[in-house]
Order: sequence, then structure tokens, then C-alpha cells
Amino acid sequence: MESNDYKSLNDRLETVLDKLQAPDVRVDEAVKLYEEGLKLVAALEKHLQQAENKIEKLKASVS
Amino acid sequence: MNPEVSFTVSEFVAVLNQTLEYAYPNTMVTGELANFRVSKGRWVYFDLKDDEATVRFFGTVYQLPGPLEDGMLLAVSGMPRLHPQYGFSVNVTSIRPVGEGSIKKAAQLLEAKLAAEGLFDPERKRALPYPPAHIGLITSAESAAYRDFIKVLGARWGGLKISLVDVQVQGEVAPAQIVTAIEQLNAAGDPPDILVVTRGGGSAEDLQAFSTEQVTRAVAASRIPTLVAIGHEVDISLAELAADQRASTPSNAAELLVPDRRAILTGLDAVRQQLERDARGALQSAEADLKLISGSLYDFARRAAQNARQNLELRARLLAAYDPSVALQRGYALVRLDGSHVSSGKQVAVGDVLDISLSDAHVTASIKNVTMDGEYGK
Repeated sequence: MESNDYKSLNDRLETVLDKLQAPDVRVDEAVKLYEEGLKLVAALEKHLQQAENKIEKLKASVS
Repeated sequence: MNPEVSFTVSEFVAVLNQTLEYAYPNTMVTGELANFRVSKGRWVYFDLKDDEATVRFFGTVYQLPGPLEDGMLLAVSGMPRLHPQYGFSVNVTSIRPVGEGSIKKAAQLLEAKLAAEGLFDPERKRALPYPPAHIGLITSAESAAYRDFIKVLGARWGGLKISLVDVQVQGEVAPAQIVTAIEQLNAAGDPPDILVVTRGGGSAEDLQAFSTEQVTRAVAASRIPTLVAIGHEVDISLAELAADQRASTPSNAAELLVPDRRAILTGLDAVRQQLERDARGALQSAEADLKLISGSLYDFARRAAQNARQNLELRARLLAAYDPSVALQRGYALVRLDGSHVSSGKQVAVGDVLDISLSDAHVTASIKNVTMDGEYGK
């Protein structure tokens, strides 16, 4: 299992997009890549939301 | 007319001396000094005179209170005696200058002599320990000087050890007692770190002990630093000149010896307040800095999050462009055989059952014919 931090997930998404854009990608692979891409976007969205919440919470705690 | 008694000359001298001894075992004569001379560095000859008479005296240099000069008024104790060869003289036992003028003159002469020896040189002065822990105090325990000194000392500073040597501060025995006290404290097993010799004010005669050669020399010779305070206005005693430090009064001596606790506490309090202000200021400016920094940190973090979000949205849109369902809506279909995508006629044979995904349905179909004819039915 790959690491789940934002950077790894984002790098993986980048790879997925590169593969999807390749001219010789097979359709069954493209479907798998697309599904993986959707999951990655959802996971990244969750990470980002948590990070934003944390930033606001920290700001509230010091001011 | 027969004399009642008749003597030989020698007999007469002996009888006369015997008579004088009975009549004047020790007598004091006061008069003006004249014809003072010292012989062989040891024997002293001089006359005392007044307007009408002159008497000869004989003694040794050890009996001198200090240098003498003709014209000074002296009180001389001694025994009158008729010498078989040299005639009448008084054999001196002690000499003391009397009267303001003579005392002053004697002191001046002694001062000049001791100054020439270097006893009063500024280079000899040692620094006093400040504040001292242990004071050797030489004074009269009955005196106001003692009470004043102790009172002022106690009001200014505490925890001092005081070794008092009670002495007479005037009269004939005073010099010897003071000298003994100085030597005794210097030889003590637990010696003080300073010697204080003090007495209150008085007439020149009262204060004479502190200008005697022996006391002055003892003060100068003390291994322990000395502070001498003889309370009087005009003249400074020789002991004070020989001391490492002098003070004008017993109270002044106490003031010089130790700092004033209250002044120190006030000073400390001012320092404490300043420190508190400084610390508070530093804290406030640090807090302000921190607030600024934390504000900046927040801005940076938010900006990073915003950038990440924009980046993510861009990719999500890019990904959406590859949504396979979009192709199905345009009429393409996904063909699978046993779960595997089919993209070539070589993968299938007549009779195989295919799964076909359309945009809105799955259908199952069996193959009736396979013709290998290249791309798009060419």
C-alpha cells in the first residue's frame, strides 16, 4: 500500500492523469485509471478540507 | 653659738637626701622649660623656671612624652635630690606638657618627627573592608562615644561581631591601655578585620592620649587596618593621622564603616522596579511580534491551502474529461468477454457470449460471425 499523505496522493493523481492522456491507453485501463483518479480526488479533497479546518482552528486558539 | 648638729659634707648630703625623700617622695613641679639638652642620646638635662626661680631636672629620653622645646609649659614629676658632685636636681619620673599652648607645641613637634619617619604617608593607608564582619572596638564602655557608635552602627547594618576592649581614654594610664588594646586585638586568635579607636570630644588635655608617641606608633604599627575617630572640632590627633582612615566623631566612624541598610534596600527596590519594567516591556514587544508572526503564518498557511485547492480542482476537471461514460453517451460501447475488455476480433470466436455496456444499459449478446477486416470495417 502506498503512503497516504497529500504529496503521495497528489503525485499518484499526476501519474494517473499522464497515463490517461497517453495516446495508446487501452480502454479497460482508462476506465480503471479514471476510477482511481476519482478516488484520489476525493481523498485529496478530504485532506485539504481537514487542513483548512485545522488552520482556522489554530488561528482561533492563538487570537 | 654651737650648731645643734654637725656633719661632714658627705654626711650632710646623705642626711639631706634622706630628708627630701621623706618629705617629697614624689612631687610635681610645673614650670616653663629652659636649657633643654640631651646628652649621649640618653640623658636629659633641663630647667623649669618661672619669673623668680629656676630648678634643675635630670632624666632619660625614655621618659620624654615626645620632642620638647624651650618655652613649653611642663608638669614634671620626680624626686628632689642633692648629688654629691653635681648639686641639686629633680630626678624625673614623668613629663607631661600642660596648657593649651604647650600641648599644641608638643604635638606639633611630635607630628613633625613622626611625619619625617613616614608614619603619616598617604601610601601607607590601607583600604578598610566594607562592610567589615568583625570590628575590634577600643574605647571606654561607659562613654557616650561607645553608645553613639553602637547605636549608629546598629541602625545602619546588622550581623556585625564587635570585640570591645574597654580602656580609659584620658588620664595618665590611657596611652598604655590603648597601646595594649591595639596589640591584644592584633594578636587575637580570631582577629577583627578592622580596629576602631574612638572617644568623644574634650579639651586638648583630655585628648592628649591620642597624640602621644606610643599610641600613634601603635596605631601605625597595627597589622589590622585602623579607623580612629576622636570627636573634636579643630585639631586632628596624631593617632588619627597615623590611622588608615579617620572620622570626625564616633557616629561618623560608624557611618564610614558600614553602608546604610535602608539606602541599599531603596536602591535594590529601584533596581527591582526597573527590571520589572524592562521584563514587562520585552514581554509585550515579544507578544506583539508573535501576534504579527502568527498572523503571517496564518496567511501563508491559508494561501498554501488555497493553492492546493485550485490545483486539485484543475486536475479534477482534467480527470472529468476522461470520464468513459461520456464516450458511451456518444454511442461507443464497452465490450467484455469473461470480464476482460475486447478490442480485437482475435479475442473472440463464434458462440462466445459478450457483455456490452451502453450508456444506460448492459446487454448480453452471442457472436454469430467474426470477420477480420481491419480498422472500422475497411
